[in-house]
Amino acid sequence: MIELKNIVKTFAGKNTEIHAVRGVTLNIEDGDIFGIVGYSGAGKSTLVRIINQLEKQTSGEVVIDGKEISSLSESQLRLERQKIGMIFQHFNLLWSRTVAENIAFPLEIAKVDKAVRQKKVQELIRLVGLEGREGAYPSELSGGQKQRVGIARALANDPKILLCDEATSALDPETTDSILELLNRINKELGITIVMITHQMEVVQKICRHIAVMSEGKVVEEGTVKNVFEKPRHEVTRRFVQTVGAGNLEKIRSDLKKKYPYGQILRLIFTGEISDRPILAEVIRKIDIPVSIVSSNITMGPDGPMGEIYSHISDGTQAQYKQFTKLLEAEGVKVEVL
Amino acid sequence: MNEFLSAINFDQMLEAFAETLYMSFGSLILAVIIGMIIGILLYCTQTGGLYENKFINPIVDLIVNILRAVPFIILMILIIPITKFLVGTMLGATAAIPSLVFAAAPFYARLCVIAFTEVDKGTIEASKAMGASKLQIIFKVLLPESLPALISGVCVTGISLISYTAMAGAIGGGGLGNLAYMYGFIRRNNAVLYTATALIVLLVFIIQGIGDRIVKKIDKR
Ligand SMILES: Nc1ncnc2c1ncn2[C@@H]1O[C@H](COP(=O)(O)OP(=O)(O)O)[C@@H](O)[C@H]1O
Ligand SMILES: [Mg+2]
Repeated sequence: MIELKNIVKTFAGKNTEIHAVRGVTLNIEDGDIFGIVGYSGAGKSTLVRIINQLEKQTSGEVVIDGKEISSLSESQLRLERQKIGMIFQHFNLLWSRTVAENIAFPLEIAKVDKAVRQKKVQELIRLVGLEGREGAYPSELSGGQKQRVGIARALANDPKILLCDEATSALDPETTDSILELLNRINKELGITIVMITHQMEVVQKICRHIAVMSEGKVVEEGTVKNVFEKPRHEVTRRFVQTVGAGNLEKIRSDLKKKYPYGQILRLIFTGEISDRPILAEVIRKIDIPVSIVSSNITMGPDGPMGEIYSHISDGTQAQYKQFTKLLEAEGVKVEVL
Repeated sequence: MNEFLSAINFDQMLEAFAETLYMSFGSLILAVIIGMIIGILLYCTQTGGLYENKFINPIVDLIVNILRAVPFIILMILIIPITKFLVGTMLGATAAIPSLVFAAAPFYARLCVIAFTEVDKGTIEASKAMGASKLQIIFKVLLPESLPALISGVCVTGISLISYTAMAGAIGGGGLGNLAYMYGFIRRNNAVLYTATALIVLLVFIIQGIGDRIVKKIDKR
């Protein structure tokens, strides 16, 4: 278990102090996939870097499995870090080493015998699905493959915790999905606790069980993903829940266009500030053309429905399509034609 | 043509060429070793470095800057006492080496710092996160990741050393520079002047060519 107790981190800025983390207390259970979300500058990276002490907190305690790790000596800390894997947005691989040599790197650091090392590297290459690419250099790999090397490297010393700082933010939606699948599998099969930092809500939605939302150095909301998504209480959380899918828009768009090459595809955005009358049903009745809802992630916010609906309309005139959009907009629904 | 060739004493030319090679490569090896150590020291002691040290860093930095600022021809004169102490004489090819090293080591140290600075901070951070010690970071990350730049730095340093040896030669260090000066300039023997120049240019081209080739081969970025 990772226990963060009242963590504060203050950087000395040019003129004023920067309070990157302002008193965060969190418990992360063993085997969990824990998401930390928030906008850029919220203090997420700083917080996660405090977990493996790349950054020393100004005050507060970091306790991992009952051990206060901020009080360890430098050499004890190095041993502890070998049991905490970390992956990064920009992968941070060594370009001068091949895939196999990159994965072997943490084993060399831990002074593992060469024979054991080679065997372990082979296992890891299989685990992350990079068979045949052992001898390639990072510059010859795609982003997704690079992150797989990053993951294999992070798992080399059999860690119990894997820290992911925006690990999918530099990847396209499909690749993101495949990396998330891999992380999910690692969590299930190896029982590794995963801490996922991200500003992409759909990442949280896909794999996290618990979530903490950070804003301005504080955790403003925390709980199971289901609860937070269903009843977002804080303003920042609400905005996040709304953006689910926004990052994926391109993929959704091209997928839907392929499926429905005719008619119009619309993205209806509900901002949670409209009445809970059955707006959609009323509008559909008024225009009298076939409307199908192809995907939706509407949740009930405190003030009404929030989220978005993708719908497909067809077999009407251009005027009817326009009318449909107008009627919805009149009810406070934002409409985008994809 | 025959006239041109007969104006050259080939044994003398060959000996001068060998002296130039000896001075350049002897001082290059020493300058690279010393320069790299100073470069690592400078890089690691800077603010935010692995061995941040607010006392050592500015002092070494100042010494390097002073040595780099003094023109070579003056540096040679200034360190004559050191040369005499180390070599016993201030004449001949070996006597040129201390001043060449004094000039080239700080130069290479600077190139090393530039090379290290180009290493992605993210990879150093990742290594720390994996539990690497500071020495492991220097030897397993910093040096291998900057190797192409370090090697092209060796070439650049080697090439400036060749031109320094020509200057050192003029003051009595021997080598092609001395030959060109003594025979070509003072005795107006153009054949010697041109041949010595051609040999120096050729040497520079060969070093650059070999260097480029090695860099291209090991650079996997
Ligand atoms: N090393 C540092 N020195 C000074 N300020 C920093 C440093 N690291 C982060 N900060 C500041 O701390 C705040 C939080 O940054 P960060 O943790 O990177 O946020 P996030 O990962 O959520 O985008 C930002 O205002 C950032 O500028
Ligand atoms: Mg960040």
